[in-house]
Amino acid sequence: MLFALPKNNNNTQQKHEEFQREAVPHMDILYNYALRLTGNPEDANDLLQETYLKAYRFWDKFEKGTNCRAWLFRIMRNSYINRYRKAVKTPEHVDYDEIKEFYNTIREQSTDANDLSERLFGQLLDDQVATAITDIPEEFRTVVILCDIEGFTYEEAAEFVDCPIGTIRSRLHRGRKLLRDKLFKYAHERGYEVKDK
Amino acid sequence: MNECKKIQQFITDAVDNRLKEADKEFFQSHISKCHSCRNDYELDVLTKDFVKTKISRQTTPHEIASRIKQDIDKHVAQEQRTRGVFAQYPLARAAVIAMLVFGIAFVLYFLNSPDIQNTVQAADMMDKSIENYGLFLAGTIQPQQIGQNVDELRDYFQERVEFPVALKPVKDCEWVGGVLSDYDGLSLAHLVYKLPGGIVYVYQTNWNAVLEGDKISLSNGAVTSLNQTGWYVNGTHDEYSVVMWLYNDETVCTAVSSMEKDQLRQMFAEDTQE
Ligand SMILES: [Zn+2]
Repeated sequence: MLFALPKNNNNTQQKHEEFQREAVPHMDILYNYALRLTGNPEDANDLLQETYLKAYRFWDKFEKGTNCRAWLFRIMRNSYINRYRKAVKTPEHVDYDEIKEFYNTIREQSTDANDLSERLFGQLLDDQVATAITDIPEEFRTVVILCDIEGFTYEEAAEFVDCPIGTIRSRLHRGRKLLRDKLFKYAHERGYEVKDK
Repeated sequence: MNECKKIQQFITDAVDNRLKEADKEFFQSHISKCHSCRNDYELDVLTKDFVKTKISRQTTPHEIASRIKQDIDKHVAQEQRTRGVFAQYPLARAAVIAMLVFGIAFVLYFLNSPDIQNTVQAADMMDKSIENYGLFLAGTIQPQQIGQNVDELRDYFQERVEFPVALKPVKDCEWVGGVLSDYDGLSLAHLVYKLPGGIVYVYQTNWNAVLEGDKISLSNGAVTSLNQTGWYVNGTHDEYSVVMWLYNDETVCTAVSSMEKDQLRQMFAEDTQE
């Protein structure tokens, strides 16, 4: 029989198996991050695909035994930033006084959280909330997604973003303020009637 | 006022229940008397809770997940084309070598018994198949053509062999490889399917040539079974299964794998109906 001599090489198979075992199970969490980051399923799909391909290509660079999810996450975030760099807007000036004044008024009438939430954000649709999230600058958006939507601790988020915990805290602080302002504006632009007297 | 500034730094930790015990009381007592700080705190809590209820967790759409899997498989196949393919199952290889040693011992034992001479001679194609399965696992034989599915091998075989090669698609197959060889003038087609749990090796050749039996032959039992049912399922091996079937009445196929023989048979079941 005319067979070529074997080359003893088990890297590819081993790599594939490792990748299947360690990287593929995090697909859902990455998909959700992509969805919140881009705000639409098409871009999220592309971003997810790009992330996994890069991850596979650079699997040798992944330090075994470290946090694979955080590694994948950083690849996705960098891909996103590179791809949409041009679209990044400088953060607009935000005036928080409007919502604070409004809240002060309704807070005197009610102490019930559901009632207050309803009056603040009204009947915003899920899509509008998703849009509000994509409207805040990426550095704040990412931290809000990680901590408030995905429920990661500051420590975990710090590993994902590769920054100190104090940075997570301050970005979260500002991110929530930016977001609540957007949500409030959306809710009230929509013509949601608020009678505060 | 200085106190309010300090409280502002605690708000985020308070919202996330991360305040240190020592700071909790200070925080609580301040917001119970300072409405401005209390409102800041409450607004953040309300925002966090509202967003969480509005944003639901999605699962990756099935088509995207499988597209990604395909992308990766394509990469794997490319890498394997450029590198060597096999020799990645050291344990299985050891097992196969052990099986072959036993197999040879078995053959030698029966060769000495003239009554079943027929069985030994007839086991040739089956022995060859098992031997090749071991050679594939060990990396001694490598496919010359690799594709994501059998369709990518169609041209390779069609241009080179005179008998129809059974190219049955197999579910969950990660890649499939093919190679041809020549055995004393007789063409042999070898297929190897890589599945998540291991490989399936399929040996194929011209059925009439096997019936003539001068180069490759089969036991009478196998020939009878194949003629009558199109199948022959050998039940004597524990470590691996061997299943034979006829394809288009022109090709005889032998599949060898570590999976259950029923499962193996099921995998190629449709081929007899074509
Ligand atoms: Zn205060």
